[in-house]
This record gives sequence, structure tokens and C-alpha cells, in this order.
Amino acid sequence: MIKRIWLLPWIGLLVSLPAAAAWQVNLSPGSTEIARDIRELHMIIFWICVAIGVVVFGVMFWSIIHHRKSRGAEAHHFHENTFVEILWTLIPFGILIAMAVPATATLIRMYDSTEADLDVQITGYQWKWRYQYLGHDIDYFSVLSTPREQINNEAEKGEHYLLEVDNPLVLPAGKKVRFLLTSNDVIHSWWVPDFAVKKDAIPGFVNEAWVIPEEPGIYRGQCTELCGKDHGFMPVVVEVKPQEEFDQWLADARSAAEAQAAAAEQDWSLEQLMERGEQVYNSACAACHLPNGQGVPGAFPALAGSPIATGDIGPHIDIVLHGKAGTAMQAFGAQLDAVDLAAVITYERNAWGNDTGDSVSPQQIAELNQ
Amino acid sequence: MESTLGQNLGDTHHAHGPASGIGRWLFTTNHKDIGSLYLWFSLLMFLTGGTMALLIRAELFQPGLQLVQPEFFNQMTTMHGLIMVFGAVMPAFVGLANWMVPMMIGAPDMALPRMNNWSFWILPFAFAMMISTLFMDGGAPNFGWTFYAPLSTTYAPPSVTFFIFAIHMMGISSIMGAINVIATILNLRAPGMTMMKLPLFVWSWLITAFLLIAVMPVLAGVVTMMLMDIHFGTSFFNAAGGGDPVLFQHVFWFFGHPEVYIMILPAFGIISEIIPTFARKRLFGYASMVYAIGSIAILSFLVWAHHMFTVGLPLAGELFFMFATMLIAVPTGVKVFNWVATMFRGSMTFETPMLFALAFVVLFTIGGFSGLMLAIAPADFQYHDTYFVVAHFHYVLVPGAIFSIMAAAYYWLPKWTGHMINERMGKIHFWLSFVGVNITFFPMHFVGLAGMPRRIPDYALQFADFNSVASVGAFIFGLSQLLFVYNVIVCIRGGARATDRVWEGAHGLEWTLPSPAPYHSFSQPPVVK
Amino acid sequence: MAKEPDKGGLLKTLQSVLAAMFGVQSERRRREDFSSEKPWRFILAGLIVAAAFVIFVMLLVRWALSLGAA
Repeated sequence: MIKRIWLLPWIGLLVSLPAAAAWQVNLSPGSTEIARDIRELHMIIFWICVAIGVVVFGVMFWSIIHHRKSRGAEAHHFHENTFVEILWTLIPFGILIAMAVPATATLIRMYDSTEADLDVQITGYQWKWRYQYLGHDIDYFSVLSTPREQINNEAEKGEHYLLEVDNPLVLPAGKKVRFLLTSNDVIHSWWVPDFAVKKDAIPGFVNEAWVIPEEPGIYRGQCTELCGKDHGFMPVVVEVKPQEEFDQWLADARSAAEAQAAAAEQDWSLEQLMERGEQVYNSACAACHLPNGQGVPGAFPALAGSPIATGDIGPHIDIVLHGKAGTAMQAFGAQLDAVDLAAVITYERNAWGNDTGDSVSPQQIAELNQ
Repeated sequence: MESTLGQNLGDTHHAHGPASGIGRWLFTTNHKDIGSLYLWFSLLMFLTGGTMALLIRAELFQPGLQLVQPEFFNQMTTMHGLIMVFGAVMPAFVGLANWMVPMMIGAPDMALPRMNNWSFWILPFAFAMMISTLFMDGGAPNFGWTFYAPLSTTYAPPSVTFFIFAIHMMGISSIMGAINVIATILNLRAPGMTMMKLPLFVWSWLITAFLLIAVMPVLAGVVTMMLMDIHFGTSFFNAAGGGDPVLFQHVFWFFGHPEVYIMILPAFGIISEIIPTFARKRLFGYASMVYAIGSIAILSFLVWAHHMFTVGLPLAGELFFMFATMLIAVPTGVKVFNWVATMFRGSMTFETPMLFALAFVVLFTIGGFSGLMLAIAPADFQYHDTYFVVAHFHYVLVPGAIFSIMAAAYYWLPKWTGHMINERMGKIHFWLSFVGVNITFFPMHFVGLAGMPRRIPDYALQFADFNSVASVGAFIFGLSQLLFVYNVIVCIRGGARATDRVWEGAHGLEWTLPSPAPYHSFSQPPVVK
Repeated sequence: MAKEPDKGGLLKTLQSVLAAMFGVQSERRRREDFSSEKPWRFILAGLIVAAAFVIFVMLLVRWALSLGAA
């Protein structure tokens, strides 16, 4: 049939596309032992499928070409052969068993999360990740750092568009790290393709996963379970450092946390709070309430001119600290420190024409947020 | 006297033909009318869901947010999935069953004609309600067609309640449709039409109907549990109250996996009718086909958690569902071998229905291969919730279920309308669809493996090229479906007269009726030798 | 109408059901099966075989795990 020639340029296109380097067509080669094993499983099953496909489609196209009426083919009236049927059932059966053996072995190793050198608790939030180094007093959030302008096509997109964060997860190379995954709100899923680690973060439950990162470097992934509006905007970035650099980083992070605590003791002016509050607002609140405080009607209430942000200050502080049950409004008391909370509440009460003139000090917040 | 006689004659005549006006469609109990209603309804839903898909693909044409905001994007992916599954594919199969099952088994009509009318007329209201949520405060459901809790309970927009009610209505409609199919097949077969002579389409629908009755109540149960959590203070899916969000997924997929087979078994039946006709050869291994459909149906209840490999199942659970899923691949493979063996040494011609059926065999098998890959639990950790999965299930649903529906429409349209289809236009529609479908969904395998998660409105730059290709393909595929609408309308309005047999190699009771089939067929049961 | 004598009984029913699970059956056996007037026999056997399948896969998992642990 002449018309099948249409297919040729199309097949040619598909074959030639992967040749271009930018068009990644296959799983990441993997940078851990487990990831390489999985990639190998993937390639074996892929080639098995290709082989079966060649045989089945080969017979089919051979029949299409040779057993067509226009060539004078007469139908042969056979319609059963139990022996052949049993044969072609047993063969795939055997192939599948052969496939199940290495798959089972890999899976058993993936589930062995014992004897970890470092435990990191990963908590999913709408729409950011929280990393807590258990036993090291380090606890921070990791938020998308791609500027809004790039997303809205008002600026050139950077190299790591949507795959960059303010504070990556930092891990030591060559050590077994165990992840304890949970969530604060809906189900998220934490995935780094190069590690072949993907595990759901489920509110109220703790899942385990582990990795032994081999090479220092930066590894990127994303949330893979639909978790609401900004599901596409909560990437995972892991920075693997050699052991000495990792130890240095741990020490630095600890002293930064102490400096932060000291800042809460200082006195802050309204202007300072407003300036800091705007930054905090844009990273923690603007996703729902929008940068202009207008919210999304029916889903996320406006703050500009709202009774909460312009009325009595008590309920305003309360809702920011403790959230609102049954809605997407989270309890930020546990997520932000006293300075940031004071700044953002002050900002919300004075921005977008709210102009209440109120300001809240970090000390007041610290007292309320016990 | 004479006038009375005339009136009587008129009445008698009236009783044998359709009523006139809108009443014909509102009050009809005729299986052909109801079948047509189902088919038109599903075509309308197919175009609606397709428009949403094009909106999604248009947004994904380039990185960055251009056309829609993320919250609306999520509503589109959710509504696209729900409309295509419950509004397009399932009603189309029910419509085909309504038209063809009585004609294939030599029955005058469906067994329960009034219930038949009701089960159809529920649907437009259910979908009107579901689509109306798009215009509500807070927007339509935005939690994906799988509506995982707690995103669909605690964090859902207020319209979720309407969504739950709509799902209940669709469930009632499906269950009644299924009861009707079973009652018809078991009770209204013509003398001599024993179970072992049933056409494979009828067999596949009989088993599908049992699946529907088994799992639609499970779906109703899970949405009711959601309703209780949202409005009545229960905590089925809320860990804070002692519930478990993963319970939702277990119950949902206990419905969801058999649902996958509900959408593909009737397609197997259709393809098993078409290939023998155009290969002019009996179906190879009819007995095996029937038994394989039965075994697939039973096993489909034992593999649900392969959709949940990353939720943290215990190791034994992972292994159980991996082994069971790999085993279920065998009977599915057998069906493909049988179709190929039917073609082997046949005498084939390639009319439009046959082209769609051949594309089905090839592309469904590709979808089956990626399904096999997904069954390997360790590898699934890399595939899960990426575009690889999106590619997989679109390969089994679009060139699978949808192509089989189009093949069926082209195959039986001459019997329905009395006119042959325009072969030339049919072939153009086929080739545009075939090329479009592959350009759309094949690159999704690549971006999925490269690491692109599903259900995201914007993506990193390395996925940009394949996404543009997929979007172009989607518009080719989407727009070429307007040709399908054109072909159907042209075929209804005119065209070469169809013979009773229509296709040279066709066998079965439906081809013994005149074309177009009379409004009431087989008032006297035919005798099957 | 005429009562078919049950040829083979339980063993044959099980064979037919196993063939169904496997996905292959011969035309002759299918004819025999469908001329049987007792569909319940097959349905019951089907459920039993399905349960046996579950137990079989569970044993397989236990065996694989015991190998993995060793």
C-alpha cells in the first residue's frame, strides 16, 4: 500500500531525534548503585519488549503484505491449534519469571534502610520541603527560587528554570543517609531521579527511603504527587559535598541558626519589619494570597482590605501562627521564626492600603508562639 | 366505521415506527434510539474532553505560564480525565452494546427497555452538574481524576460535593446499564444461539457488565466516605482523626483497576469481530479468547496496588503485587497472538474499520509493553507519576479504547444508516489520527524517562522540545476528529446503498437484517443452526 | 434437555478453570464445558482457583523474602 510511505519520514524523525544531545530520551544513568541497577532492569525489560514486538509485529506485517486479497491470497481455514497456543503462552511466562528474579533482588536491597549514618526528616508542605537533620539541630525550608518574572515570561529563563531552590538539602558523599518522609498537609512525593529515590510523603505517616550518594555535585528532582496549585513549583535540589565540606556546612548552619535566634532579641523598626516582611510574604504567602494581596476568589481570600488584616490584631496573629482548620491556611508558627512572623504580620497590616500602622515585635510573637 | 378503521391502521403503524419530535428521544424505550443517544452523548463528551486536552497541550507547548494559571490547569487535567473516562469511553461502549447486542443475539430489544431509558437520561444531568462546577466559586475539582485524599477532602474546593453527587449518578447509570446487558444476554438469545456461539463482542460485554456491577459500588463507597469526611466529621482519610490517606488509594484502585478492564474488554470484543471479517477467516482460538477475558476479569481484582508502589507498602506487599501483575500480562499477550494468527494466511482487505483495528493491535501492544515495564516494582520507582505513565495509559486508552470505538462506528455505520461510509474520507481520518496520536504520545515516553512529573503546568527547559512536538501532534489528532464528525453526518445523510451483509467477510445475525436495520428487528426470533 | 452425565467431574472442571486462567483452551473442551448444565460448578471452581492463586503468590513472596534474608 502506497499510503504506508507516509510513515517513513515520521519513523525517520523519531529515530533521528534522539541523536540530538538535548533530547534526553532515557532514564538517567543513575549516580548510585541502586539507580544503576534499576536502569539495568529498565533496559533489560525494554529490550525484551522490543524483541517480542519485532516478532509479533513482524508476523503481522508479513501477513498484511503477503496475505492480502488484492494479491489473490485465499483464506486458509484454520482457527485453532492448542499446541501453538500453549507454546506461546509458556514462552512469555518463562521470560517473565526470568525478569522477576533480578527485580525481586533489587527491591529487597532497596528496602534495607538499616545502619544509616545520618537521618534526615523530610516534610512536604504546600508547596515547599522542610529538611530536619535529626540530632544536629538543623531545620530549614527549601523553596523554589526561580523568579516569578521567568515563570510569567517577563524575563529570560535561567539554566535551572524551576529546578532551583533557596536552600538545597546538603548530604555527605559516601555515607548512608536515611530519609524519614512525612507531610504537613496533602500527599507529596519526593523524587531525585539520579538516586532512584521516590517516596510519597503522607500526612500522619512516616515512610522510609535511603541513599548513598557517591559523587559530590548537585542533583535535581521534583515533587511527583499532585499536591495542589503549585505542585509543579516545588523542586527537590540535593547538594552532595565531600565529608569535610559537609562538616563545615553543618557547623556554619548551626551558627547561622544561633544568629537568627539573637536577631529575635533585637528591636525592629516598622521600616525594617516591612522590608523583611515583604520578602517573607513573597516566599511564604504570595503563592495563594498573590503578591498584591488580592487572593483567588472562592479559593484563597484576599488580604487587602480584609477584616482579619485590618481589624483587631489578635485574631490576625492567631490565624498566621495556628492556621485555619479545614482550609489550605497552614500554621506558620512552626514554619517561620519569630522575626519573620512579626515582619510578615506587620507587612500584611500595612501593605496594599491596609495602613493600620500596627507593628508587632518578634518578642511578642515569641511569647504567643509557645 | 371507515374512520375508525383508518385510525386503527394509523395507530398500528405508529406503534411500529419511532414517535415524532423530541418525544421520540425523551421517552424512547427502543434499543436503537437509546444506543444512538448514548453514542451522540459520548461524541459530545469526547469533543468536550478533547478541547480541554488541547488547552492543556497549548499551555504545555512552551515552558512558562502563557494561557492559564496553575489552579485552572489542575481543573482542566481533572475534568479531562473524568469526562473522557466516564463521559466518552464508557457511554460509547454502552451505546454500542445497546445497538448491537440485541441484533447479534437475535433479540427484539434490550430486556429492560424502560430502565434503559432512565440509565441514559441520568447521564446528561450528571455531566451538566459536573461541568457546571467550572463556573462555581473556587472552581471545579482540581485534584486529578484519581482524586486522592486529603487533597480531595480537607483541601478541596467547595464544588467537590457536586462532583461526588455526579459520580453517584454516573455509577447508578452504569450499574443499570450493566444489569440490562446481563439480563438481555442471559434471557433473550434466539433459539439455538447458545452461549458458545455468542459473538465475542457479546461475550466481552457480558463479562464487562459483571465487572461494572462489582466495582461501581466500590467507587460509590469511596466518594461517600469522602462526603462523610467533608461534611459529617468522620475521619476515614484523615490521620489526625485516626484515619489513613492510603486507605483512600486502596479503595479507589480496587475500583480503578477493574475499571481499566471495563474500558478495554469491550474493545477486545470489537477488534475480535472486525479482524475476522476483513481477514475472511474465523477468529483464531475463539475458546481461548473467551477464557482469557474471563481470567483477566477475575485477576483484575488482585493487582490494584501496582498503582501504589511508592506509597510505602511493605516489601511483601510490593512483591505480591509485582508478581500478580506480571502474571496477568500473559492472558493479555495471548489475545494479541490470536489476532495476529487470525490475520496470518487470511485474505485481507483494508477498509477503514480494519485500518483502525490494525492500528489498535499495534499501538495497544505498545501500551501493553510499557505496562509490563511499569509492573517491575523497582523500575516503577523511576516511572511512577511521570509522563511515562501518561504515555502508557494514553496508548491503551486512545489508540486502544478510542480507536476500537471508531473502528466499531465505521464497521456498523452502514448497518445503522443504510449507507456506506465514504472510504476515502474515512482513510484520511484514519491516517491523520494515527500519525497525530503517535506524535502526541510517543514523545511522552521520552520526557517521562528524562524526569518530567505528570500534572504540572510548567516544566524545566530540558523537556521543552518533546513537549512542543507532543502539542503539535495533539492539535493534529484533535482537529482530525472533526473529520470523524463530518464522516458520520455524511453517512447518515446519504451515500452508496449498503447491502444487508455490508462487508464481504461479515458473519453474524446482525448482517442478516436489512440495512438500515428496521426500527424493530427480530420480532420473530431467528433460528440459529 | 437430556441430562449429560458428568464426565470426569471435579478434576475436569478444575482443568477447564486452570486453562481459563492460563488463557488457552481447545474448541473441543469448550464445547464440553458449555454443554454442561451446571455453571455454578465452574464459578465455584473459578473462585477457588483465584483464592489458590492468591495463596500461591503469597507463598512465592515468602519464599523470595527468605532467600533475600539469607
